[in-house]
Amino acid sequence: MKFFIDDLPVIFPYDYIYPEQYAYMVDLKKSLDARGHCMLEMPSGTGKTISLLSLIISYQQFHPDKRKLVYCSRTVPEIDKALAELKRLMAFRAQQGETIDFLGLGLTSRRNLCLHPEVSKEKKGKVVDAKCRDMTASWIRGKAQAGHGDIELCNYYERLEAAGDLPLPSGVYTLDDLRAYGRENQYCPYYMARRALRAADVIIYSYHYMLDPKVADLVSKELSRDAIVVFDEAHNIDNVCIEALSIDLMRPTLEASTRSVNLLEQKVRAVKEKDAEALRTEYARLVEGLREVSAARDENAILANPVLPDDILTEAVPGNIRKAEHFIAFLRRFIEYLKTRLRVMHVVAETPVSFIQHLRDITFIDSKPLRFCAERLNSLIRTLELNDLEELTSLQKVASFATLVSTYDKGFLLILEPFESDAATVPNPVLHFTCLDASLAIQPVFQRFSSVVITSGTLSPLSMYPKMLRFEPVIQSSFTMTLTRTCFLPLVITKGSDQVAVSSKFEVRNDRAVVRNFGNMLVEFAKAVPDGIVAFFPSYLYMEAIVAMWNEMGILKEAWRHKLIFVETPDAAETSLALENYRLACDNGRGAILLSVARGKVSEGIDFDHNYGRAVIMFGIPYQYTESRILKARLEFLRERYQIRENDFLTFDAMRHAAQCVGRVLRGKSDYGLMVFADKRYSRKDKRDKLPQWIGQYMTDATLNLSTDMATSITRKFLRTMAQPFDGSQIHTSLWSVEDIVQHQKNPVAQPVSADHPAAKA
Amino acid sequence: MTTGSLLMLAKNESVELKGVVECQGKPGYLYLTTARLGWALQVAKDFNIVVDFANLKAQQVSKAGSKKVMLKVVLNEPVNGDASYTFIFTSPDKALDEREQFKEGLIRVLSRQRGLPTPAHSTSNPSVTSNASALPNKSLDPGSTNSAQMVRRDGAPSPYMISLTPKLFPNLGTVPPAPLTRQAIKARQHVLSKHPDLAQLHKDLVQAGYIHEEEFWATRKQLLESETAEMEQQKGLSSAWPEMLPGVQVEKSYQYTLSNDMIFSIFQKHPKVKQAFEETVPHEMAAEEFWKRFIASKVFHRDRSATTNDGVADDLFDKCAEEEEQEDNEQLSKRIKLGNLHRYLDMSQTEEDHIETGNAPNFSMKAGKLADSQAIIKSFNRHSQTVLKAHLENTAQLASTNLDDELVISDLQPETQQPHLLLEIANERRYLESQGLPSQETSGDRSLSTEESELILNQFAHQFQQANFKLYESALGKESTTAVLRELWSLVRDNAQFQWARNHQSLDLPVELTSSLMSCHITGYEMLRHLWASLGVPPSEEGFKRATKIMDAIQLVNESIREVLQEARSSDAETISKVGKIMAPLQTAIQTGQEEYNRVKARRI
Repeated sequence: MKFFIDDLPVIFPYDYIYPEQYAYMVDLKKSLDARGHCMLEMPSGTGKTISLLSLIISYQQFHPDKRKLVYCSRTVPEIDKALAELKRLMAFRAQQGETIDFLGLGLTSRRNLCLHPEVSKEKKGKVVDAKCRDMTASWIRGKAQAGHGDIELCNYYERLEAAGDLPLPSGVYTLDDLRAYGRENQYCPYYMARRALRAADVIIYSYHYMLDPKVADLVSKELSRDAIVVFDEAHNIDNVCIEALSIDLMRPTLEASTRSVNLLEQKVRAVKEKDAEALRTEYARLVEGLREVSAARDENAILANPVLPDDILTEAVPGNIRKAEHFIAFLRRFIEYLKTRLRVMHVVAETPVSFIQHLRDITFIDSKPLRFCAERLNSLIRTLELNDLEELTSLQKVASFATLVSTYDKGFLLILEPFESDAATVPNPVLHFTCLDASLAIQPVFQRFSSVVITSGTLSPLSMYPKMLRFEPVIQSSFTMTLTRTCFLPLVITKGSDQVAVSSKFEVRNDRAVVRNFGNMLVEFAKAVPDGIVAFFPSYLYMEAIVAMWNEMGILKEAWRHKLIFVETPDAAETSLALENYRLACDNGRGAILLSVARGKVSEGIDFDHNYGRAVIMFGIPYQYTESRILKARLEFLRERYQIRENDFLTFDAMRHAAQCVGRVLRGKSDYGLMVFADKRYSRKDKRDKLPQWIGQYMTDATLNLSTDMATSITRKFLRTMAQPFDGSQIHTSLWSVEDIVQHQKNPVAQPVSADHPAAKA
Repeated sequence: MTTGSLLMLAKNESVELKGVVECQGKPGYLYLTTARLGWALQVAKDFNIVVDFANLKAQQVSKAGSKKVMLKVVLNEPVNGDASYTFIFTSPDKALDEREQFKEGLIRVLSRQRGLPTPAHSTSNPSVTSNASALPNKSLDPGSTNSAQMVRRDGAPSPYMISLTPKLFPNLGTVPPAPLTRQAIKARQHVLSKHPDLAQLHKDLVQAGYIHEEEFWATRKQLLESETAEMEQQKGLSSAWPEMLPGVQVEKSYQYTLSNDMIFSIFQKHPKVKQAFEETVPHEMAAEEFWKRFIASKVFHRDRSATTNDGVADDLFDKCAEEEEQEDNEQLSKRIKLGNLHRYLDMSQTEEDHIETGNAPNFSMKAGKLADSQAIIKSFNRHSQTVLKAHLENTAQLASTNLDDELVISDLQPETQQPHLLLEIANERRYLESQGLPSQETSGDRSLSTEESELILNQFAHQFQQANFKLYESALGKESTTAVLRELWSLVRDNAQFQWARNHQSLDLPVELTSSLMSCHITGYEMLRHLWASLGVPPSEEGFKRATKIMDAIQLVNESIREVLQEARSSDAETISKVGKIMAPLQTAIQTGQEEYNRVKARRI
């Protein structure tokens, strides 16, 4: 269908549109017009991605400046799906006669794109990276061209190099398409994609490529200022930001760093004998300082890097680390100091300021050279032409730590934990350098790009994110679902059939009565619900413990009779296999239960729509482990800096994950499913208020305080009703055609009204 | 039955059987269609070898237990110089089954062929055995081709099997039964063993020679069909978690009882243990010893509980456990094996998409902390997979791999019209002509041209418009309808009361009396059914002969009714009235039947 929002023609690849999709597009357009940031919450499964792409592509092609779209998502399957949606959209546009020169593509790691017959068999991304660099680094290729012995090069890369500027014709390339095109033409898909980024109209990749300074420096630096940046599924973005700047240092890390320093020393000595010129040139360059980078940043040519703060750009690298030998000695001293710190046998928490102070007192290392550490190390690696970066990872970690700890005196904390847990007796010290301020990593993005869109199915309460990420959205809205029949039913189960309250509260979670009641709940739902059931637990620890207990108590025996049981495991590949088998069992009518963890791998980005999930059970509230020192530090920081109360944040965090888990049950309005919250604390108002409105509005008094047996009888009734053929009378109310849109535009008072909830009255 | 959709089948021809078969050294598929036997190369679109049924002379099969499962077909007239074809069944686990199916299929075909020149009803004794043995079925394994004998050899000699070779059976003039397949015989056996009432009836009527086996089943097709369907239903494994019964403590030791089922589930769960069993038992150790060691081992204890680390170190089983684990790991360590994983489910892609950053998760969010639970979780996944795969082995995979399904929101698209179902009529001309259309110039062509169909449809439309339907007028008079219904109602009610009382054991009669009442009822009504069926409208010569025969049997029933009443007379008044009430409907029914029979008889004279 094709319709207009103001003067913008929008092409949407379906015959009908949900009212909320239309409203979403209207708000999105407003924020693009205003060149400001926005935050949009839209129910899961109502076609958020396609609305977003339709509107932005229409916008992009309508305006002469053709603003580039950078779309960031969480997981590779989600990236792949977004690419496939884009491909469908572009095919539809072509059908409508909108053929244009257009390039859209995704980017992922070498490991996922590599075609090299040997390297691509590797399972670990790091190994693939290292092996790839061994064949493609410029100095290796230089050596090979100079005829040095038997150096193996990668044919795919060589062909790409030979092909010149841009070998990729216009079109949309999913990751599979990239590989296929690469295979056909014998080009390396990874480097081909990296090269094509500059020319692409749409880029789709992971958040990390934008937020992690190390990666962003490589791939996102040169994106133009007027690009539209979208963070989809962004409910967890604050954690991604924090992770991007946090560093763990452990004994093995430091040992490896020492080895790397030794290696560097040897290299320097070798180079000095052979080619002292290189080091001299480097020295000269360092005297000049990082002026080049600074100039580029002044011209707004590149994205800022939090690891390379502005003020050091204008200064020369301090004299005491300019010479390679001096820098190596400097590093060694610093590492030794860290090693002594790890020997302390009690917990220490200190601020960067106090750390620097102590460092200076003991080793006379000043904070200024520390700040240049990361950049200086990179320069040395370049000069020495080292390609085995895998070996240097630890040292680079230490160097980034040095830079960060000396640059930021606020928003970070150092926590030394000599033991892994309170019960452990063998010391395994970890120095957590933890970032507390989510805004640090994302600030450069907000500052550089004029429109940043943050969107997800669960962003409630909306006020939280602007505070934590320090930005001002021009538009923030939350959309609800318009339904002609209520196709999902949230149930809050507070007690088992025996009236014992259920909860994942720390004090009672291992009570046999609670464990048994949770188990019986699963069994009862296995009996009542057809096809697939997904159950989420608050943590891996709890899931593993409860599965063992259920097994021992014989509760699962009953469940086995009705369905097959699959469980998420620590290994991603194994879990993927289990997932595929789970879907198989749902498809062929056996029915299955999947046990998995909120915040785990499965809860992010795997959909359980239609028969793959008729019920999602959330056992307990997925609170974080509150005794964690890192979490405590963050809570304190949030309270002092942003006036966010501890409890508010904890509940907010738990509820967004719970909502994320249950939200995966729906796709489209002809789908239906149950959302079961099994914990007595869900019935409290302060918890419910933090759920997104589109779920919360269907929680009624009748479904707020159920026991297992009451819940299953409601379930049976609900499923019976929902399984009836749906007569499609939703046109004009929850499905709009072009005429409905025109009608609505003429008479905007007639807002989409949400339907009543019949099942709750039962 | 899967149809070879690729194959060029003639119109109205359909594939009845299909098997994986090698011929002339090349792999391919053998098909038995409704018109011919054909063999095609695996990739071929048409048959490479075709044997028309008319050209079929005889078949031979290889001995049971011989290495190759073969079927040889001898032809009447050589085709391309071949006087016979030899087919080797190569399907890994079902070769024998497939061969047997083909063999039986061909038996049916051949008997049909033979049957044409010598109409079967002219033979006085068209029993299954005689029919089957008349076949030119030179088996290399004598006796294995005869279906009836086959069943008996298979064991479970059921008393009802005798009925297949009745001694004194008079031919009542029906079309002789087609030779039964083994499947059909099995289905009948099953039905009879499930319904004791029916078995009794079968014994009383068929084995006693009153009605023919086929007649007996003719009115019970539904039962047979559902039984056959049930037998053919492929059943998967039970998903129930294999459970070890707790041992019974005898003094200081525990005693375990292992049933066959349990051993099966152990083998299924631990293929390596099965392998070990096959390797070591009986030449290295006795089975008993093997299981003793198994129960003491760690493998067994790991299955039973999560927390114990009991179990004696045992090289044999520790090796099994290790190998199992290794297999698991192997499956996952190599990425290449996961190559065919659904793209949107492969989570390892995300894990390796970027370098791990941030602080390590705290201990509660680290998976795999509890090693014991890990073992359980792994075995859960493995068990589920085994159950699922056993189920899917034969059917073509798998979950929908259409990636578009994962994207498209179906309700945003306009509803697509369901395509109309075409009515397929094998012989259009005959069908339409039978509907009262004037017979047109018949050429051998079965289908109609467009003009013809148009003409015919117009004629229909015309007839329909002209027709003067009086739907409001009832065909029967109101009075007679009411009378019939009233009579029916009282019969039904009385019978229902008796059934109800019997079912609720509130009849309060001696057991023997009840059972003889029952048998009178069952036999009586069955005989009456056959009587009315053979009297038929219009009455035929054969029908009448049969009816006479049945009347004799009904006299026997009458006899037993009288006996029962006699017997009842010796007890109290209540019993007498009860028995009288119970018998009244049957007596009335017999009375009516008798009257009708006499009427027909009188008319004939």
